[in-house]
Amino acid sequence: MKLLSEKGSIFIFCMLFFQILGCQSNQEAPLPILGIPEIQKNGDTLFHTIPEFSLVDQDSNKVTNSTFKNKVYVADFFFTSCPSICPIMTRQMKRIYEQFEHENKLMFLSHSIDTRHDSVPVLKAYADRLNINHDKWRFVTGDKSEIYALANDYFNVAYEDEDAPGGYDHSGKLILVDSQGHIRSFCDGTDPESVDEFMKDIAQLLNEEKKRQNQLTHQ
Amino acid sequence: MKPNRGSSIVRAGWKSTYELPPGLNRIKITFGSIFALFFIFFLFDGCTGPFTQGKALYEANCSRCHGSDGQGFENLYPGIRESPYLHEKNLNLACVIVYGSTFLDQNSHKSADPLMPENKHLTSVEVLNIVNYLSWEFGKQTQHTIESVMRNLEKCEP
Ligand code: HEC
Repeated sequence: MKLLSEKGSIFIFCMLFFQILGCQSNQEAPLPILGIPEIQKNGDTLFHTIPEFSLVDQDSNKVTNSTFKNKVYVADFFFTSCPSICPIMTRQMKRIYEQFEHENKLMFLSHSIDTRHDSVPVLKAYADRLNINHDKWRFVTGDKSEIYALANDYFNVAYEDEDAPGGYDHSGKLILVDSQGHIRSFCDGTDPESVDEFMKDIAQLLNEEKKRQNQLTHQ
Repeated sequence: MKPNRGSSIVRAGWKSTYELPPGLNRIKITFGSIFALFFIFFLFDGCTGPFTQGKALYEANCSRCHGSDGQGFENLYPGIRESPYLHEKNLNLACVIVYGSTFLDQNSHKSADPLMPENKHLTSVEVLNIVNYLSWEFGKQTQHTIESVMRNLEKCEP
C-alpha cells in the first residue's frame, strides 16, 4: 500500500515536471508560419503569403492589403443569409471580437461568398445588427472569382452548390494573419473549444508583433 | 441498505411522529433525510429530463440562431423566450418552425433582414416535440397533441 502511493507520487511528480517543461517550451516557440512555401519567378522561395486583393466593405470603402498594414487580422468566409454554420461562426467571431475589443492592433475581415445577394447595403445592415465597430471589423464583397480564389489562399473552401443549405458550401475556418501577410494559426469556427485555443494564439501573436515593432523603432 | 425497510419506517414516522421510541426517532431522521435527498435529486433530474427529443431537435435545428437559452444573438436573430408565438395560444408556432420567414413575414420582408430558414425535413411528430419542449422550457407549459399540430400545419400549407 505504501509502496504504491510512493510510486504514485513519483509518477505525479514526473507528470508535473514534464507539464511545466512543456508549457515553457510552448511559450517560447513562436507560432509557425503555415502553408507551403512558394518558389518565386526570381528563384527565391517565400513563405505562403496572402496575395494582393481589392474588395469593398460595408461602408463602400476600398479594402486592400494595406488596410491591414501593421495589423493582425482574423479572416473568415460567410454569407449573410447562410442558415447552417455561419450563425455559429459569427457568434464565435463576435466572442473573439469582444475578448480583444480594446486591442487596436487586431482587426476582422469577413468575406461574403454570396456576392450576388450580399451587396454593400446588405452587409451594412448585417454589421449594424451585430453591433460592431465598422473600422475594426470589415465585411467585404467584390468580384466573385477573386473572393473564391482568396478563399483558397486562406485555406478555406468555397463554392456554389445547389444542394448545400443556402446554396453555398464552405468551410468554417477562422484564419489568423500577421502583419506580413503570413498565416499563423487557424481554427474551426464552429467549435468553441477550438476557438479558445485560437484566442491564445492571437494573444501570443499580438505580443510577438509588439516586440517586433519595438525592435524596429529602437533600431 | 434495504430501501424497502427504510421507506416503511419513514412512512411510519410520518404518520405517528410523537409515539415512536427515541431510538427509532433517530433512524427515522436518518432515513428521512436520505429520502429527502433522493427527492431533491429526482426533482433536479426532472429539470433536465422531459422532452428529450424536443430538446435535441431544438439544439440541432434552432439553437445556432436563437441560442441554447433562447436569448437570440445581437439584433441578427431574435430571442424567442418572450416571443408571442410561445405565449399566445392562437398563434401558430408549428407553422413558424416548418416555414420560417415565409410564414412569419409574408409581405413585410426587406431584403436586408435576416431570414429564418424552412424546416420542411421535420416530421409532424418532431414539430410537435419541439413545440412541447419550447412551451415547457420558455412558454406556458401547455401540452400540445399531434392532432392540434396537424391542424395548425394544415392552416399554413401553401
Ligand atoms: C438561420 C437562423 C435561424 C434558425 C436556424 C432558426 N431561426 Fe427562428 N428566426 C430566425 C430569424 C432571423 C427570425 C426573424 C425572422 C422574421 O421575422 O422573418 C426568426 C424568428 C423566429 C420566431 C418568431 C419570433 C418572434 O417573436 O417574432 C420563432 C418562434 C422562431 N424563430 C423559432 C425557431 C425555431 C423553433 C427554430 C428551430 C426549428 C428556429 N427558429 C430556427 C432565425 C433562425
